[in-house]
Amino acid sequence: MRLDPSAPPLTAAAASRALAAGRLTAAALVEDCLARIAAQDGRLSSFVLVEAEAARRAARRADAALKRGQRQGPLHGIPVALKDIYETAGIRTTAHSRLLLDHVPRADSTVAQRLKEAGAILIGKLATHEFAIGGPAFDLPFPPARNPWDPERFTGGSSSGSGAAAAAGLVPLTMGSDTSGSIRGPAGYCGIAGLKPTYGLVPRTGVIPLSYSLDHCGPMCWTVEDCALLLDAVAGPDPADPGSAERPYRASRGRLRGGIEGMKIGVVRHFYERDLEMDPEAAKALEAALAVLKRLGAKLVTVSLPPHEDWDACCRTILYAEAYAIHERDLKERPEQYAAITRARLTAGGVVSAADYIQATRWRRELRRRYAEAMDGLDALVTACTLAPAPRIEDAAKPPFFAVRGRLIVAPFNLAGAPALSLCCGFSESGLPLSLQIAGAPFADATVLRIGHAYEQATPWRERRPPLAK
Amino acid sequence: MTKAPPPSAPPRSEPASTSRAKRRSDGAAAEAAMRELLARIPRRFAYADEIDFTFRPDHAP
Repeated sequence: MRLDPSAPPLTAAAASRALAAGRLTAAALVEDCLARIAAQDGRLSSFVLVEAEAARRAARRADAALKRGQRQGPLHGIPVALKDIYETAGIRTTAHSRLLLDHVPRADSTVAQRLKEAGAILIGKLATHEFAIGGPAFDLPFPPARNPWDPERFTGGSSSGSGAAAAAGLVPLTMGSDTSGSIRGPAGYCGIAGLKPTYGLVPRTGVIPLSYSLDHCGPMCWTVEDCALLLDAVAGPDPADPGSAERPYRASRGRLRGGIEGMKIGVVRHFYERDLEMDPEAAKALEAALAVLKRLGAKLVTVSLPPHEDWDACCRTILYAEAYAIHERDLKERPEQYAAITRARLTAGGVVSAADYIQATRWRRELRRRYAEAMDGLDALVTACTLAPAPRIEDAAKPPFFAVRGRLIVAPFNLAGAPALSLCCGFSESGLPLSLQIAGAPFADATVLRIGHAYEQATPWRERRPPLAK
Repeated sequence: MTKAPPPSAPPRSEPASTSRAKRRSDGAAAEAAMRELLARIPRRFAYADEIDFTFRPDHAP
């Protein structure tokens, strides 16, 4: 049994149905991914490690179990790849850094463990910006990932390999992490779906940390349905993660359908019309997306939140202070081991005083209160995510390495700990993806995914793959 | 453990002669930008505005 390498890549949901019906084997699916990686990743650099033989062995075991009627669930036999900050037992985990080139964890991260238990097959480890904070860098042991819509373009970051691999169809399921946009930025620039779930929903145990109180783990896939599938496998309380939410997780995939008729959705226009500048093509695509939501039966109302600059300043103060605390010793003892861009960004955290940090955590409390008030009576919020098509990678890698003004609308949802989904809402004239963002109240992840799924089903954007994926 | 495929392009390392000066200027620019962000933080809070070190969305703000 072989898959046609010239056919569009299978989504995880389609592959899962075919495996369950006996129309496909895990071995064929793994070979298809490996062939696509071999053919395309020389240009994309989305993988830092491919576990080909281990994946083949796991596929044979998965097929044997299926023959015995022992299916572990919808992810049984489906290939998955992890951003290289998720620790994997016996498999090197580098955070894309020279400092961790020889780091071979003894234990799996909780996410890797849960994926194994769900029957998914780890196919490799994905590029990231160094320690999930650097930018695209050419002074690291591995090259930066490139955007499959145009390899001269930036993927966004820091889950750069996840965005590139999922868009190119090298693997159907990928996991990223998001401290201030690191799932939604690459999802937006690479034209895929990326969910930053509610804070504490997906365990971070065994994930190399960046910011204790802002780090979120989440799925990045070609479709919203695949994000829901993956979220259902990895979400749920984890006593080993002090940030883990205590309430039991209710699966999202079964709640995707049903449409959005009668939902009340707030549009946060001032983020992209007043607070930050949006490219006209991207703005036009977002307006068209809002019209689709309206046509699907949602009621749209304009909503105000504190200015984006406030969210961004508060988020980055906390993020950089916490990141500096993690990296202080290495920054002092072996600064030359970091990429220049990572070092500059981490160094910025050194100027945050204890008073700044304390005030920022109080400010976060106030901003969260404002978010909860704005969400009152609404099912969700919609706003922009990326404000323009992906820039050129060489430009993104140039100084200044720390901009005062953000290029994405992401920080409000990290600070609020709220679920936020970035998804494709069209293409620029030059053929690059544009994005919209749907957010919700904490723990309303299923609602956010449902709206995203309804939008995706009503639009043609999933019919178009990057030229390299064809 | 499986070995990683070789990088598709060799990493460009910093020349030793420029690295220290460049490190200083990149760091100084980043610190200046950070200070601009810090200037936005409100400094007046009431006693009841607790510090939120154990940030949890399942604990109401």
